[in-house]
Amino acid sequence: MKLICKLTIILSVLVLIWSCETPESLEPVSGIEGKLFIEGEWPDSIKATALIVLKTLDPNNLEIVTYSTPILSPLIESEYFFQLEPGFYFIAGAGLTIDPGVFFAKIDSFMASGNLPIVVLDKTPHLQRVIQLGEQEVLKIDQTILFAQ
Amino acid sequence: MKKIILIFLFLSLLSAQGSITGSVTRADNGEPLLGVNILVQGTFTGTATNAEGQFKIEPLQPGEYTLFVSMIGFEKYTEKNIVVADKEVLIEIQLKQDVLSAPQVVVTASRNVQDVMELPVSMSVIGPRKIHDRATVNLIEVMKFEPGISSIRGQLNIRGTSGYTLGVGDRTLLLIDGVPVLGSGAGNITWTMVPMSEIDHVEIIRSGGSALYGSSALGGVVNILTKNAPTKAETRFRFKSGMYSEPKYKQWQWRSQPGLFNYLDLTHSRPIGKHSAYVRFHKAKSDGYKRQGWTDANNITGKVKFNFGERYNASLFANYYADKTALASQWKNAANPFSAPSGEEDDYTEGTKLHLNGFFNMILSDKTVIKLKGSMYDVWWQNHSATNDNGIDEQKGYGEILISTTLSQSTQITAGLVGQTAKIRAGVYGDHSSLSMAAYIQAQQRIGKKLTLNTGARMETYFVDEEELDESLAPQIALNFRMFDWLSFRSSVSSGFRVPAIAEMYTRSQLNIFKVEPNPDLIAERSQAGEVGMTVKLLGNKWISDMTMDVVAFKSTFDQLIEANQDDKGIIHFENITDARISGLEVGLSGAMLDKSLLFSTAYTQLNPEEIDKDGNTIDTLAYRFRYTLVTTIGTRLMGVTATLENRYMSRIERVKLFQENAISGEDKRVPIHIWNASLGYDYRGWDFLFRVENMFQYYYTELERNMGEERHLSLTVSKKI
Repeated sequence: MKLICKLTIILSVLVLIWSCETPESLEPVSGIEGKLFIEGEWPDSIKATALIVLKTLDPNNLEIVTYSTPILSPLIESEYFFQLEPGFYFIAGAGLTIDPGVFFAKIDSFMASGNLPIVVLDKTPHLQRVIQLGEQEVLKIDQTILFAQ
Repeated sequence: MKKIILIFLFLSLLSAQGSITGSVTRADNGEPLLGVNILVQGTFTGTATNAEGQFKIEPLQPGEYTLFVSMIGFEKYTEKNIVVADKEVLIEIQLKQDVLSAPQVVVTASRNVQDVMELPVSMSVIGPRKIHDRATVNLIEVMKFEPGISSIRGQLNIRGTSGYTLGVGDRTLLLIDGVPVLGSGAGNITWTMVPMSEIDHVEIIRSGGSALYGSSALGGVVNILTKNAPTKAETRFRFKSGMYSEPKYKQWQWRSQPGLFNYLDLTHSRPIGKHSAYVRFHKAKSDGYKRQGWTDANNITGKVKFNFGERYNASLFANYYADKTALASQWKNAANPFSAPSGEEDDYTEGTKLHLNGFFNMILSDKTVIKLKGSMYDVWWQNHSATNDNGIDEQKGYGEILISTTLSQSTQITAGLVGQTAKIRAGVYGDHSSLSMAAYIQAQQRIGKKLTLNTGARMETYFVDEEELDESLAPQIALNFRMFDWLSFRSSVSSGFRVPAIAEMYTRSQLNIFKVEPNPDLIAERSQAGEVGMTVKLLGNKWISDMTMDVVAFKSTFDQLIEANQDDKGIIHFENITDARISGLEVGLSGAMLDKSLLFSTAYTQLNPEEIDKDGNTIDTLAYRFRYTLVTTIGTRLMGVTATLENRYMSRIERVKLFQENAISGEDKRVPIHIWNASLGYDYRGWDFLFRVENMFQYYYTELERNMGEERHLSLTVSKKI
């Protein structure tokens, strides 16, 4: 009986210590936030627009880090936020050429094929601008996508 | 001559015998206690109380006696210096509930009174002490400290059965006093309308199965047994007030003053002739810990217990709940996790719920009881939102007749018929009706002194819009082997089912780019569950005592689980898409040390939640399940001061469905949950004070993606019984 008691106490203490492992609480993040404005008439071929964040400017290897929630036609204004690790990035406006619902339903196969139904809408000047992010830094940058008037 | 005198004296002594008679009641509500053991010190003389709590010990020679009074679940009591002459001595005894114990007899597992050591299925019992010590307004916050139980954004999970299903189609059945309280449209549970201050105890069946309680019970059953009004008039109040801390990171702070919350409970109860009644008013007002976290609710509860003599009794319970609560789908973004998305800052929902239930018991003979149960549930709510103005209006009726009879000393049969109907009018579902009819039978057979066999089955037919949707048969077989008073083994095999909720079949909605369309072809999901368990109870000594250890291994398989699924056009339907298997282990350990001055309890749960194919091969981990859970409570009670420390650990959720982690950007990171709570209580001349701090180290986490867990909050609760 004494042995059972001792074992129980030891087990409880061990369990308690184990439960006190190093916490991994969420912390403030770094990123870019702002407003996205659409100017001009939506082309028929574009079903939705979004901002995309790129790691490189290599046209043969557009490495998309993340993208904003798509705006559906005919909206002209939206807020966006990109959570990003500290480092260097480029932002571009992009158009989805298919229904965004279909795009997200099949995103894994699109990504695997490398044939994304996306067109870059504003190659300049944003793509040329390097955005540098520091630790837990949130930059405020408004963006405008210009469609033909 | 001397012989004659001696015989005369002896006969005189015999004729001068006395007796002790009396009654034993509960100290908290005056209810008589059945089965209390009463022993006369230094003799083999003893007895147990009857159903009215009364006892009589005779014959007793004239002298001075001491009585030992004991019952599991209550503090031991000693009545000293009872002088017995040649008359009857009358004493009244009140027993206080043991600080350690939950009630030791339960009713939910077989619909009959059972000793917890003889249960054939796994059950957690939460007594009033656990509820009082946490001073919460949401029962889930108490249940989370039981083995196998967790929650995701308010959706209860027993052994990981529900996961997170967008708030519809709960796989756990909630009963109040044995009558279901599910909303028929979404099939979800409103936990905040549970009258916390009026709970006697809560019984949670962790073994899934529908043999007794039907649809939705495949993940388990939570039965809330409410208090009866005490036999003496009394007024009780409880006031809880507190504040949320500001987020510890300056970047996350979003308001200039701390958020406050206040909760008030006011209950008055009194006897009315042979009957008794209480009425309770509850007010809840909270700023919330996040921008869209506020709530304002009023709740009126009443219960009348009718006593029509020895053979008949009845009860009527009413609960009306009205609230306005902020609506929030997710945080604004990871940089502003306590703010609402743009355009949703003023969204809220308002609603009312009315729940009436009652029963009438007829004791036909010493061996047969008939119970009639009825319930009505009326729900109305309306969203006020920039993007989602849904509303719902539904009524639900429930009726049940149950007969329980003892065929022999070893065999007891319980059988019943159930009917349930619902009408629903909702913007997103349309107008629909449902009807279900069920018959069930359960036999409890004692085989020898140590073995109890429970067998049962339920047959249920379910109609939607007057068309038959499903017909299910759910059998169950369960066994308890009580090897010793302190050791029992149990095993059970059962099947369960859940018919789809109206919301799953008929929702038509669009939120942003996501479009949800109806799927009236849904069929019921089904489960098969099995478990093997063991319970050990040791009284111990003054150093370590009241040890209870419960260990259970379980495995459940689910066919045709209903989940939201996106088709190749991006349209979301609820579909029978997944087969699943959840196996695991639960270990619960509790007890006291150092002459009961140090109390502890811990519960460990390990789950292996798998999505499987038709051949049983693992495809993936089921979404929204915690693989490891460990909850620990340590408390002490010295000189009227109670101190408690709690820790809750849940491992990182391995798979989600809405927003995946992005290792490159760091988006939607998921972390384990690691919460510490502490409380300090003091009882001063009948005034009960409880200071409590929850999430005291300000640990930040998400249970559901993009929804920050609760911020640290401090509260003071004052309660008083007059």
